[in-house]
Amino acid sequence: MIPMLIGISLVTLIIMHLAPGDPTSIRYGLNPEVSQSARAKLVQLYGLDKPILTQYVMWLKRILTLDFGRSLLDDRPVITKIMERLPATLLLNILSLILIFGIALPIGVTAAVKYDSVFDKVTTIFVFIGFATPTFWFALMLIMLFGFQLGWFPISGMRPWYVEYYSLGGQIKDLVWHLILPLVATSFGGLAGISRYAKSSMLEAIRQDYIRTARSKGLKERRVIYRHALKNAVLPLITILGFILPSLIGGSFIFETIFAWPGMGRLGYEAIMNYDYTTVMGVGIISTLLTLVGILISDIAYAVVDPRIRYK
Amino acid sequence: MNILEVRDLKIYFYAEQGIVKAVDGISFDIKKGSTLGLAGESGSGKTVTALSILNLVDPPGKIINGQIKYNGASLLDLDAEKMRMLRGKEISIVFQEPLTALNPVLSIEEQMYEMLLAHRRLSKNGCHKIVIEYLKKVNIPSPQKILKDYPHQLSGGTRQRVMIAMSLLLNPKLIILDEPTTALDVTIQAAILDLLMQLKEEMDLSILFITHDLGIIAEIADDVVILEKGRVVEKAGTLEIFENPKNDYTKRLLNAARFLEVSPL
Amino acid sequence: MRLVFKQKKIIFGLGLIIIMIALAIFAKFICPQDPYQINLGEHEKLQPPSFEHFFGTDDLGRDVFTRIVYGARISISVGFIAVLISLLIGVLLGAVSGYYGGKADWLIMRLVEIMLCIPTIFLILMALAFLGPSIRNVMIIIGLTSWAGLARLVRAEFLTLRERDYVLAAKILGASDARIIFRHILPNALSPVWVNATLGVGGAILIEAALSFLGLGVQIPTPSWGNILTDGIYYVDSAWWLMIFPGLFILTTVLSFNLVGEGLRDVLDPRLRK
Repeated sequence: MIPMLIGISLVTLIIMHLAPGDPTSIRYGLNPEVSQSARAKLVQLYGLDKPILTQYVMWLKRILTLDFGRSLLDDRPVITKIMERLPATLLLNILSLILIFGIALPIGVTAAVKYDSVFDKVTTIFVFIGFATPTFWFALMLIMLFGFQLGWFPISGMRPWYVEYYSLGGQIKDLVWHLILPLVATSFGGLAGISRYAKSSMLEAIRQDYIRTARSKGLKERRVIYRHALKNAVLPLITILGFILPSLIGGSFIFETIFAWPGMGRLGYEAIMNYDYTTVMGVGIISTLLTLVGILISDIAYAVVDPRIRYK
Repeated sequence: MNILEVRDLKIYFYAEQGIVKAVDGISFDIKKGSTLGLAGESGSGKTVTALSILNLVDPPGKIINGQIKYNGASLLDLDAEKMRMLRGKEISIVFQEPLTALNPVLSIEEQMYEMLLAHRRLSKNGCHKIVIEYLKKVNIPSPQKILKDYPHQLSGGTRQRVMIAMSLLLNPKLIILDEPTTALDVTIQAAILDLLMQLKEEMDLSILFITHDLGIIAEIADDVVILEKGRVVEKAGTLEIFENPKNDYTKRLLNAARFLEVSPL
Repeated sequence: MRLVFKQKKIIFGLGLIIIMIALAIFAKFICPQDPYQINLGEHEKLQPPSFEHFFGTDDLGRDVFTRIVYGARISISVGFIAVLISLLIGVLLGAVSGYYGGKADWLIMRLVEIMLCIPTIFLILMALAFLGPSIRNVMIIIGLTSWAGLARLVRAEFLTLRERDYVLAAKILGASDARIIFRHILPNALSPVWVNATLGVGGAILIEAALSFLGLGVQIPTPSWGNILTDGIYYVDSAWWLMIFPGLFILTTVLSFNLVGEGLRDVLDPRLRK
């Protein structure tokens, strides 16, 4: 954890130094005047003109106190802006995690149990296509089909959660309504990966000696598969959580922008487009910390549920 | 009276590179109350033969010919559910490596209770009593203590004792021991073999003992079948084989054997 | 090598890749139209697919098929160059880490963990925000952020291979470290690298498309599969052809690289062979 934190603070400090200061260094599109004044503010705020060690200590202190200064855009504290948006992002990502595991696990396990069946072959093809599908394009297709052609779901947005404008029931209904398309889009990418992982994990478990033992004891096949094999197959999936979190949170930047979802990802994207460097750094650090916390939780959870690690 | 009769058994493995004839037409009998030693080097088809008795050969392996009769009834014709009820209750198996044969993420307790529950209606308390009784039978000093443990927490010897206790839980008539001592230290080996012989008398078991070690056969078996590359090369009473081995392969196996201290010779 | 061509996945994938590359190289001959040719006539703008315009025209009356074919140049070259960069970094760091062990290994592995932990997309977006978007920057940044998995793979291979007899023999004969790494170990460690690199091309194409779509990759008017989709989003309710075709091209290209990668894995990884 600690070396991780130090490493991340270093990487981000390096990135900050990439900020364009010389107008000629900008080649495409970006407005040099804007970015130069933004850079000046960044230099002043983070002390980028001070000795490198001082800079680093200052930066580390800011990370630890979550104080990223004020937004260059509207002068509000960056952390306040992020905290306003965080719940929407967490809501979307946590629901999407549940959806991914809830769907992919049964699919993968069934494909392994019925190896080489029609079901297995169809899911294999689906997984292959899923891996190759640009997820943002998939989101656009959802919008085109369900938002416009069929008109079933709203295509964008959700009012910021802090705005009260309905009764509680109305708010929840509205939320669910706006949530469905972003949720499907966000979960799609993970589905292929996790179902594939679940399948190979289950296939591996079924091949083990203890499965033969379980059968030789006269256990019903259901118990052999769904107790003996499944428990062994599912445990390592907990650690996979740590691997999909970065891509899930990374996806927030794209999907929240496409669906105008008022979360941290969209905040980050808008900050990037507006040269709001302080907000960019804040969002970057917070999303990385989120990933770290997620990995930590999955490691602890794994240690708790796997007896081989629990008793050591 | 034979408890098990195997006739012209053929088990082939259909691999991409071609057909492997793991077992190629073997026949043998096990007399009720006796111990048959099935010996051969690794790859001679011993384990596959053992598995075929309970129909546990996994694809790409397939039993393509032969008959296996248990107390006169054909085992290969049984439907899946009848076969399931027979496994563990009439015939049970102890495998070579208890660490991989036991499920690493289920407690000893669960793995033993579930076996009882698969065949009998019992309360948790009823299960508990029987399990403790059998763990005592296999000389585990304080059985209460290991119930909540997981396999990796036990020593190798204790693990194999647990496996043996588990295989006896439902008082089977025939027990298949597939190299049950190979993974253990020599001193523990001897103790386990003594235990097995004692249990055999106590519970009136018939035994199919699979090993590559003729020294062990000499100690415990009544009859011996020697396998080489899926075929029976010699079949006789134990004394006969040791005094007068007819086959070259048998002679080689005999030379390789390490004789334990107790020997009928 | 014969085994490689026995694989249906590889043949199919390779076939598609060759078609795509051919499209990219011979774009001029395949599409007589100019991808930049704007035509604002009422009957030229936003036309649905027809015999004249296979994939229709966009809001500026440009032929979508032509733009997609020219876009293949960008996507495929970004894919290859980004992977080349990540190969260079990943193989080098993985080799050093696995061969020398000790402090270098510790440091490199921590770096790998950090790279795997920071959401890549955001790292890329951040870097592009500071550096400014361009094709060159996109290639470099994708390469710089995608080497971590490769480094891990190469390290694992080196850890086992460095104990081999022929490596010890080379050491005793006084071969230099660089010679041992590049001549003796690396050639034997490459199988998983090829698989990973092939899959990486598909991954890089996906990232480039997303970046261009977000306006941080290839800049208009240069056509890329991602930014054609950006144009399409304004006409999502009317001009479906602006959305469907670029996406299908991305999907097919990535799919074919993945097919080859998976096929190679089947051939090269004996553990998976059944």
